[in-house]
Amino acid sequence: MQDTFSRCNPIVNLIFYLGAIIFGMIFMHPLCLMAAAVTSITYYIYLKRIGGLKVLLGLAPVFIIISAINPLFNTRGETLLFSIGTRPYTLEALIYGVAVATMFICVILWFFTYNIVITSDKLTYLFGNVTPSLSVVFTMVLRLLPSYKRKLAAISNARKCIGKYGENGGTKDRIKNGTTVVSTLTSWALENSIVTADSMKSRGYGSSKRSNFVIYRFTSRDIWILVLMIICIVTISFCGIKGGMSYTFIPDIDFATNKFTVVGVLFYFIFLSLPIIIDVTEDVVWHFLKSRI
Amino acid sequence: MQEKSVEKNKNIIRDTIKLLIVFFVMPLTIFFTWKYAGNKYYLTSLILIIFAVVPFFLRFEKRKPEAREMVTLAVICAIAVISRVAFSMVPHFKPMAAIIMISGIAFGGEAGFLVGAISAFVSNFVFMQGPWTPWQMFAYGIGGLLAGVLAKVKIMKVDKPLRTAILGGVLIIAVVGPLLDTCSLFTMGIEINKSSIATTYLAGLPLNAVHAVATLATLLLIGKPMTEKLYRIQRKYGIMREE
Repeated sequence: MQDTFSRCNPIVNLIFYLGAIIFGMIFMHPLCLMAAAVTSITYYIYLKRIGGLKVLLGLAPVFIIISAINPLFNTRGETLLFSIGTRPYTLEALIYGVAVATMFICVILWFFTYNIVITSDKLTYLFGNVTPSLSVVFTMVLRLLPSYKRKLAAISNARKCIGKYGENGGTKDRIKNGTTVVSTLTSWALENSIVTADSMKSRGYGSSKRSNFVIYRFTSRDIWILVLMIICIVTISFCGIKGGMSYTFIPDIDFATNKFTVVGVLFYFIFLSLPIIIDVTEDVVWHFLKSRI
Repeated sequence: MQEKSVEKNKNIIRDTIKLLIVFFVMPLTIFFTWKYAGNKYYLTSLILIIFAVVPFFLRFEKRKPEAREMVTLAVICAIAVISRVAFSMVPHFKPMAAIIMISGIAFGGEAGFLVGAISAFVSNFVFMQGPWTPWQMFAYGIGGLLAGVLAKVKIMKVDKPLRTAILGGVLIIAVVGPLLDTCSLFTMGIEINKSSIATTYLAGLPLNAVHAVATLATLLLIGKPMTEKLYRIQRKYGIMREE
């Protein structure tokens, strides 16, 4: 599987996710929610294929619970469905719950794909120049994790020789075992850290401006996508400020429907579809290139 | 002499900016997000958290830390994150907060905050990034910071392991846990009123209690040796000293 959107410049990826997540949290107009739901689900399924469907099914209970819970806390609304004790359970509150749940699931799905698209090396590329020291620390932590995992296994194995299995005994013994292992790891790691630091220093760390690991270029495609995204963001924000996306759920349901709604939702949909459009275009192009051979 | 007065001026400027942010920028943020984005609790709180977290990061950058300091910081963060693995045979046992607090006690509040924030961020690369990431960074950072502050006023002490451990547990159940619960309250987007607030915190209480007990146990068992190890590195190599 080839995800072309992931191979765009990280700046493009970051701006897309900032837009998708922030707009996703602000706009609760039903058309916006529909646009977000359709695009986030499509993109997630595109990336994960069949395995993604299982995760989506797993999210269904979350959706139902959040929808159903809201009317329990929110008793306003005009249409009474039934009452629990003295507390009314209203249709408006339930619909608001469904909207909130949709928003929540969409944001979670955007984060699911975010975790696939924006990898740690992209983050260091993005923030390496703004926060040089922190991104070194961040990179080092990521590098140390697997190494410490191995060391932990080594320490536990050594302790097995003296009969201190990790799984032995009750909870108390296990916790004690765990703390000893962590303590041992700490001694070793701290001593090692000084060696690493001295080695860094003797190789000239800090003597000049740090350069970053960069394998990303700004291609003309990135520029086009970026321009398109900025046009979308400006239009959506403008329509939002003009009231095109305004909504009220409680006490009665009312949505804006004017020219700003149409334009705003259209651009919102285009913006959110960008990754899918890019991926599918590339797939189609490849298909034709292959069939020509 | 002149350098001192320049330093003094810098401090005055810094304090003014701090006050401006607290009394001017933060209320303005709340006002504008309320007015133009509806009652979006999560977005508003996110912006406020960014205002709270960024100064710590900027201060660290400004200081141009030595290689030794940075590697030590990275090592402690990595231990805090990986410590979860060492306790994988004990269900629901999360020792990360305890290690963050130990680093706060040994190296001061600022380092504690950095360790907390970075560990929370990196551990989400192992689990999953989500809307909770900034809140977790903030909550664990505050945990480390408070441990550092309490150690500075000599309330949390190495030679008083029981008191330190209990205070650590209290910090989790009273500060870190509720902060994380607030995040779930805001991200779920349900109506905020007395009953929903009460339900969220009550529902979070059992999990927070388990977390607090884990922190207490870790601090009790490991607090003294770990802090001494950190002190030793600090004295031997002259790093991570608070000015």
